[in-house]
Amino acid sequence: MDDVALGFFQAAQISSLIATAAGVLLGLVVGMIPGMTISTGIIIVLPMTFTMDPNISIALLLGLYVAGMTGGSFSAILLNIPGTPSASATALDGFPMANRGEKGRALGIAIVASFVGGLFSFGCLYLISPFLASVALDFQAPDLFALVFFGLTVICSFAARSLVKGLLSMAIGLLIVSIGQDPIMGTARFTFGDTNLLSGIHFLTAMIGLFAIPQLVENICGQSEISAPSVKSQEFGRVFPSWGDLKRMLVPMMIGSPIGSFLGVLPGAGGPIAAFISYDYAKKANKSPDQFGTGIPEGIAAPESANNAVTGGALIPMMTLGIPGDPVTAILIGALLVHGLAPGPLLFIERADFAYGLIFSFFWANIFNLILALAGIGVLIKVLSTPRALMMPTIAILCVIGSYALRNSFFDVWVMLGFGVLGLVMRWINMPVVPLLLALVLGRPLEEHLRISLTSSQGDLMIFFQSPFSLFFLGLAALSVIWSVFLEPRRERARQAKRTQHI
Amino acid sequence: MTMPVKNIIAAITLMIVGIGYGLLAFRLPDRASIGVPGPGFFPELVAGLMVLMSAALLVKGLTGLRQSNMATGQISFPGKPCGLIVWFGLLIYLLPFLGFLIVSIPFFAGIMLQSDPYRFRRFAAGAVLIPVVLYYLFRDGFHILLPSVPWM
Repeated sequence: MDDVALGFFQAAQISSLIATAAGVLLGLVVGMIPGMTISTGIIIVLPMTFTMDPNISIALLLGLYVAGMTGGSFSAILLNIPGTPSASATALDGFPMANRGEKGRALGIAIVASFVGGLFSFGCLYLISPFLASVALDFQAPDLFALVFFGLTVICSFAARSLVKGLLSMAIGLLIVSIGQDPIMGTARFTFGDTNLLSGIHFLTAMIGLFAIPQLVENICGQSEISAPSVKSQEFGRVFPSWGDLKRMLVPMMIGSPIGSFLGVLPGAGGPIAAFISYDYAKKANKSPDQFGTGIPEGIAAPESANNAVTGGALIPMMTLGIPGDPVTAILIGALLVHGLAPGPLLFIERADFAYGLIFSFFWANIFNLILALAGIGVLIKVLSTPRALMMPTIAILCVIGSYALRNSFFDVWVMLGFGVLGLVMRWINMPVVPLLLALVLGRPLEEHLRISLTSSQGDLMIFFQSPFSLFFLGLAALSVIWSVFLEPRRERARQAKRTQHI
Repeated sequence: MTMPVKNIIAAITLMIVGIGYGLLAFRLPDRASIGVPGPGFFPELVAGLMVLMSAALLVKGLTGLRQSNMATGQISFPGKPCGLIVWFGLLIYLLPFLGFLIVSIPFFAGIMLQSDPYRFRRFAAGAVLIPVVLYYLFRDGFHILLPSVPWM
C-alpha cells in the first residue's frame, strides 16, 4: 500500500479520530477563553500525549491547533474580546452583527469561513509539502544553514517591534541552546560540572515556562481578565449561514484562504497579520467598502478564513524543513521529537506514512471543527463563565506536571520556573519571546550546519555564496533585516502619532 | 519606570551576561584543527552578537531618555507576581520530600485564593478534588508517575 493511503488509514482509525475530536473540543474551549492562547492550551495538554502513540498524540494536538483559531472568534463575536490575537479582525464586523441580535448568524459565518480556510490550507499542505520536501532533500549544509538563518532573522524582523530587541531575544535563545554537549564533538559547554546540564535544556520545559507562567501570573494578578460575562445559548437562533450569506462569503473567503495559507508559510507572519490583510483586501474588493465595520458577512468571512488557513500554511515549513512558523508549530516540533520523530525532508522518506497521517489528521480536524462548532456552540459558550478560581490553579499544576513528566526530573521543573521568570522580565522590557523560542528550536541545527559547512570549506566563508539555494535564503534574510530597519522608524512615528491623538 | 530606563537596565544586564558568556566561550577550544571550527566557535559568535545588540539597545535607551526628557519615575515593587513565583518555588522545593498529592492541595488552594478570593469558599472542594483527579489521571490514565512519598 502506498504511503498516502497508509497515512489516510492511520488518520482515519477510530482512536485517531477520537483524539482529533477531543482536540477540537479542547481547542474550541481554549480558543474562546480570553487570556488563554492556543500555545498555552497545547502546553497544558502536552504531558498527556507523552505516552500516547505518535499518530494519536499529533491528531489531538492538531485538533486543538485548528479549533483554537475558530474558538477565538466566538468570544470576539459575542463579547468583543478576541479569544486569540488572530480573532481581533473578526470582532470588527462580528461584534456589531451580534449586537444587532444576529449572534447565531455571525457565529455560523465564522465557523463556515474557518472551515473553508482550513480546507484550502489542507489542499496546499497536501500538494506542496511532498514537493518541497523533495526539493529540500537536495540541500547541502550551507543551504540548510542559510535556511535556518533566514527562519531566525525573519522572526526577529516580523515578531518584534524593535529589531534590536528581537535579535537580543534570539541571542539569549542561542546562548541557552549552547549549554550542554556541543553537537559535533560532544564537548561539555557551560555545564559548570552539573550533570543535569550535560544533555542541555529541553526546549519544551523552556516553552512551558516562557508561555504559561507569565500568562498565569498576569491572569492571577488581575492584569488581564480570563473570565467574561456569560452568554445565553437561547439567543443564537439559526447558526448555519443562509444561502444568501454563503454567496456573500464566497469572494472574501477566496481572498482570505490563499492569503492565510501564504502568510502561514512565512515564519513569524502568523494569524493576526493574515486576518487584517485579508480584511483589508476584502474591503477593497467590495462594491460598498463603507459597509465594513457595521456587521456584514464579508467582514467576518475574510479574516476567519485567513486565520484558519494560516494553520495549514504554518505546517508546511514545519513538516518539510523543520522550521516552525509560530510558537504552536515550535511546540508541535517538540512533541514530535519527544516521540523520536524529527520533522524535516527526511520525514517524507523515512516515515512517509506518519507524514501523510499528520496531513490527513489536519483534514479531519477541519471536518470535526465544522461539525462540533456548529452542533455544540450552545454548550461550548458556557465555558466562558468557568470560574477562574478553578482554572488558574489547574493550569499551574499542569505546568508542573508537564515539565516533570518530560524526563522525570525535578531539575526540569526548576528550569521551567526559571524560564517563567525570564518570560516575565521580557514582558516587562517589551522584548518578544518568540525569537528566543525559535532560537531554542533552531539553534542546534544552525550551529551544526554552520560548523559542517566551514569544516568542509576549511573555514572559507565563500561556501555560503556558491549554492543558489544558500544565496537565495541569505538574500531573503538580508532583505527581511533591511525591511525591518526601514520599517521601524515608521512604526515608531505611527505609534507616537497615535499616542498624541489619544492625549 | 519609562521604557528608555528599562532599555538601559536591560542593555547593561545583557551586556554583562554577554561579556561573561564570551569569556567562558573563549576558554573553550575554538578551533578543532586548522580551518575546522571547534566547540567555542559558535558561542563566541553569539557572545559577539549579544554584546553588539546590547550596545545598540543602550544607545537606543540613552537617546530615548534624552528625547523624552522624563524623570525615571517611581519603581513599584511587583509584590503579587513575586509572591506567586515564590509560592511556585516552594511547591517545587517540597515536591521531592512530600510528594505531589500532599503539596499540590495547599498549592492549589493558595492560587485559588489569590486568583478569586471572593469565591474561594464556594469552590474550596476543588482544591482537594482537582489535584487528586489529576494525580490518578496521570498515574493510571497516562502512566506518568508523579512524585509520591513512600508511605502513600
